[in-house]
Amino acid sequence: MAGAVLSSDVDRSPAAVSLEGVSKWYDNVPAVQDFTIDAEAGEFLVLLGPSGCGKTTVLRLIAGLEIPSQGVIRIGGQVVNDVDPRNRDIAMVFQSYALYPHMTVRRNIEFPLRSRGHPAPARSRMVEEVARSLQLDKLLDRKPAQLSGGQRQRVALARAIVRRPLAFLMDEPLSNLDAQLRIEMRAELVELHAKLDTTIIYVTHDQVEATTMGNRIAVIDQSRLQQVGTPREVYEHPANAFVAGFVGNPPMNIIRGHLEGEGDAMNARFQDGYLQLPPVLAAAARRENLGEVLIGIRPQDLQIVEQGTIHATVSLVEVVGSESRLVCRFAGGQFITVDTDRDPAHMRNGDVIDLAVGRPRREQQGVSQEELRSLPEVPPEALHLFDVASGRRLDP
Amino acid sequence: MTSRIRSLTRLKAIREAGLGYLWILPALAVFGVFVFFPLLKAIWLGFFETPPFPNLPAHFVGLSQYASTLSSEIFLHSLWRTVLFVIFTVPIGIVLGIALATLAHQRLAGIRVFRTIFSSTVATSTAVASVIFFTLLDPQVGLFSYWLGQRGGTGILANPTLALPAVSVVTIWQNIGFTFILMSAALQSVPDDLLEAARIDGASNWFRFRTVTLPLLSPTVFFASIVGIIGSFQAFGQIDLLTQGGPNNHTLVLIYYIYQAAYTDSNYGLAAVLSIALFAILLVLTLAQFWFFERRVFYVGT
Repeated sequence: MAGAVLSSDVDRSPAAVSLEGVSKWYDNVPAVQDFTIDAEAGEFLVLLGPSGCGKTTVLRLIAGLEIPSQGVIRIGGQVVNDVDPRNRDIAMVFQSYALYPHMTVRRNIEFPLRSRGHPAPARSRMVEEVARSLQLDKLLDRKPAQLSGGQRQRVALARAIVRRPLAFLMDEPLSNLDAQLRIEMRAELVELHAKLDTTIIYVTHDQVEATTMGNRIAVIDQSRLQQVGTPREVYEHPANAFVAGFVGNPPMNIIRGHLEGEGDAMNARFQDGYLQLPPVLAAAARRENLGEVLIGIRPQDLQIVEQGTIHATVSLVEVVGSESRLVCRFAGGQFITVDTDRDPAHMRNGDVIDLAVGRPRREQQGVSQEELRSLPEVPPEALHLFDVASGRRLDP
Repeated sequence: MTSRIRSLTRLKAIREAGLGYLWILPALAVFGVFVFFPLLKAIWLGFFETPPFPNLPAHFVGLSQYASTLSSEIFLHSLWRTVLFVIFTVPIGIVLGIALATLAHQRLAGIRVFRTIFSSTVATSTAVASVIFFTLLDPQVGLFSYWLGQRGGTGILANPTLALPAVSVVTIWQNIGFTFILMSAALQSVPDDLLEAARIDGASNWFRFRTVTLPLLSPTVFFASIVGIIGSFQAFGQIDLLTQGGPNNHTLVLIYYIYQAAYTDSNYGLAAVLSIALFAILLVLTLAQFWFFERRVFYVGT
């Protein structure tokens, strides 16, 4: 039956994509090193990292545009190391959209079907179906140059969707859109993922995109995988100082401190004050026999207090809706960011303030503001300790 | 009041325009002396019939020399040989240029050597190319003559059927370096991600070349065809060195006919008429190509 070859007629189940010990070198420069990760079937996996970290190379390795120097890549359980990109049955959305500029929207969307030799009537039916679902049906006869950025993005998506691939690879697909459109497209992509029930591997350097869209995030830096986990896991338990500083907006404050004290009473001292470590963390630091640690504190875990152990000078007051953000400086020059719900009207550039670690407990009844602001103890979950040399997280 | 302002504005405009003309005067003068004047002079020369013996006065015949020359059998023959020469050289040259550029575009070890070889004919003069091929086509010692089974006798260049193709081969060979460089540059400008997208979209190499690469090369193909057609219409050196229009006028392209009329026969009236005809043909071709260019050719990034 002719209809059976149509991909839309076949109920495609999503495929898992897995990399096992994959490395890629260009001459002697490593682009990807010893990469092992599984994207489960139907998962939305985000590869997150700064530019040049190797995340796009990982995507290109999966697509087959690059050949791994080492390791095994599987799509749907099958080893694809030697399979040509055109036979891997995956679709890719490029950062530039890579629309064929000389073809109309219809021809662009149709291209993957045409190149696979689908008969014309079936092609136009499938193109129209996809175009309708992405609100492109009125633009089918235009050329890419006549479309807005958002419309081009949709055409690129339509071209990927139309043949129902085993998995989608997306390389920073939203980075060329303006801020408003990006937020809308984020939601649309998540909806699309749910609707298509497919595996998406999505590359971005934008941690907001990563945390809002991904089922899991793989954080990559310097060609190595740093941590894989759900957005919450990565945010709350960053595996190392890099992940801690990269995930979260604004980034986590990371301060270097000397450890001093005996037994459970241990302080981390730095130029502008000190922090008393919670006993569990103190024990962990002692176990590792460390003299110095990196202390990570999220801006929302810092509170402005009357009398605190950390002193800083305000250098910028930003009002972000109902909240405000203070950018302060230590005497050593390091910046430290504080998110606060306190009215910053009386704060001025140059004011010296005291800070303490703690989380606002607005939801708690019967606790006075004064009590909140003089938190007696440092909650362990608000402090992240990392080894200075390796950046590795110290867990209690 | 307003009229005064208007007249002042107009005065200023005239003064600015005058200044503008002053600036382009030197260029205009050069063009006038070396382009427009010779052109008009050639048209004017065409109105005079050159006497059969030197030192007799040329006499004015008006348009009749144009009419008789342009309808003469030898002119139509020459025009046809020129068109054949263009057909032999331009399409094959472009196809070969694209083919070599595509080959050299592969990322292979040592590909630079081939790029250098392919583009080397740019650095070869027509005279050198002609001498090389003259030797290769020589009926006694020529390698091509040997391969083509044309040893002995009068040789390929004296063969009425093979002379024009032979001259065409020399021309193609000589132009291939330029076409290759043009096409290589055009291939470089085709965005990689389009080709990668096509690969992932399931396109075979040939399908990808036909549907993505070739359309994106079209502006360059177009440019190469204009330059190639004009170049072939004006090809002179290889014909002068290899066949001198022979055998039996089989390689008598227009430009060589003009040359013979002017410098062999000293028939300046005829030569002027032929030159004007060649000029008109090239003008029409160029305008037609530009018209086509505007509507048919696709540019990346528009």
